[in-house]
Amino acid sequence: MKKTTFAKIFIRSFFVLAVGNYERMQNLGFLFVIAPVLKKVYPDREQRIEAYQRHLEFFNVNPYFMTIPAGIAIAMEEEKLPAKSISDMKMTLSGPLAAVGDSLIWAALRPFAAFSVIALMLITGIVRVPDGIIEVTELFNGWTFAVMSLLFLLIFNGYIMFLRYYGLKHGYEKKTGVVALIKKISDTNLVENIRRVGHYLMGITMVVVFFRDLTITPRLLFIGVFPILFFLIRKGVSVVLLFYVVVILSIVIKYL
Amino acid sequence: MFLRILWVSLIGGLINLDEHSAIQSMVCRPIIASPTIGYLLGDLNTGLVIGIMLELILFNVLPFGAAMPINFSIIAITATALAIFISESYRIPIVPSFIVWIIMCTVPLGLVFRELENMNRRFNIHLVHFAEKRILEGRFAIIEWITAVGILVSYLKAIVFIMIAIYGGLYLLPKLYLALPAKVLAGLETAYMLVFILGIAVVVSMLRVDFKRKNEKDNIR
Repeated sequence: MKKTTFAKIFIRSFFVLAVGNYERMQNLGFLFVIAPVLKKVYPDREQRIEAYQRHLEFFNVNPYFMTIPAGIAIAMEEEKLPAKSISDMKMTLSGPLAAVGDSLIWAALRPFAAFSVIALMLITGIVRVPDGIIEVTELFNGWTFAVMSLLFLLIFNGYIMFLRYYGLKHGYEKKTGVVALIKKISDTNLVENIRRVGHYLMGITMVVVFFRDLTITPRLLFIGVFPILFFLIRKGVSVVLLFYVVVILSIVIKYL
Repeated sequence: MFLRILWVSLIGGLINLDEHSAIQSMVCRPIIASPTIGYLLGDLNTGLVIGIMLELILFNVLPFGAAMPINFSIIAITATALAIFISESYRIPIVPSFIVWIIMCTVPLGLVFRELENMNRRFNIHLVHFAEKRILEGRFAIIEWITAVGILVSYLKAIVFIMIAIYGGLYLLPKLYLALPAKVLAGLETAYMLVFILGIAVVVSMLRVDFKRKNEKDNIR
């Protein structure tokens, strides 16, 4: 695959959910991503129609991992492998990639990246929480915001770019080795390590906020209320519902 | 005022696109979106405070699989814009009770917009069918056109929704807030601290590592 074609596919992979639909999910997005290659592989009109139609089947995967099946599909199309094997490959990979993506990206990397910005601001004192009220100090301005945002976006998107690029490259070059790649991604302790770092960062932030910013009454409130809320969230109670319950209870208590 | 609201809607619409339709770089998260809108409107600090509060309480809102979660970017954009506009127009100080009030009133917008997103996805089925027919006729460029149309529809939907939400909020929210009894305001003031604790509880529940399970694994080894 030429470098320009690779670049086109890489950029197109960012728009896989542009026409997301409930009938066949990312089907048109997948076709949009690999269309530049299908154009080259099938110069004959009828063959291209058939190839385009084939790739409008149901497809759904974590958007950051979609370059893996895209790379493999491109390699298989270039070798003119049977349509059913390409379709089976897409179906087989969708499930494990979605699972790995959900646990690695949504449940570990994104929360860690987002919280690391908040933690940094709280620990350094750019944002303080005197008596539980968020106060922005004069250390915060457009530049510190730009730096903080870049930090979050770099932590998150740095890894995502690596996943997208390497997924496409590896999928295209070593299509049969992809199962080993997925196993390698899911077997590493990456999820555990990210959550561990996030866990300790959380601990440090809580200690700093508790002892530096809170006075006696907010500390008692924190000790009393935090375990109840934490328990309810672990039990699966919706946080939005808890938000409204907490607000309404606060108002009701003032009337008692 | 109209130009500022239009500007917020145009930029907010782009931020909202990042949530589902394009790129997904997490610019749509409240911790980035709210301060960005705040910066646009000349009040970065309010944007940051609202951004932190929303990021904490919406921390575990995630698009697992095919699920469509509550739309957090719309909440972040409208909450920040309304807080700043209302505070400027009605000279209401941005105190904790005001912030809680604004967040209370804008969270339902995230739920309403989620339904709009669902409708959008159902509409997209027609776009896909249209593309399929054109492909059978050999008009292959339809793929790129339909992708562009899909993004444009999502963008326009967000712009219109944000504009309506801001104008509606500007009309309703200040009057309601100024009519609130003192005890309700005091309750909202206390609620701010509790909502912050709730946010910390959400983060801890998401980022915690189950040390007991790890120790059991070590024993098995």
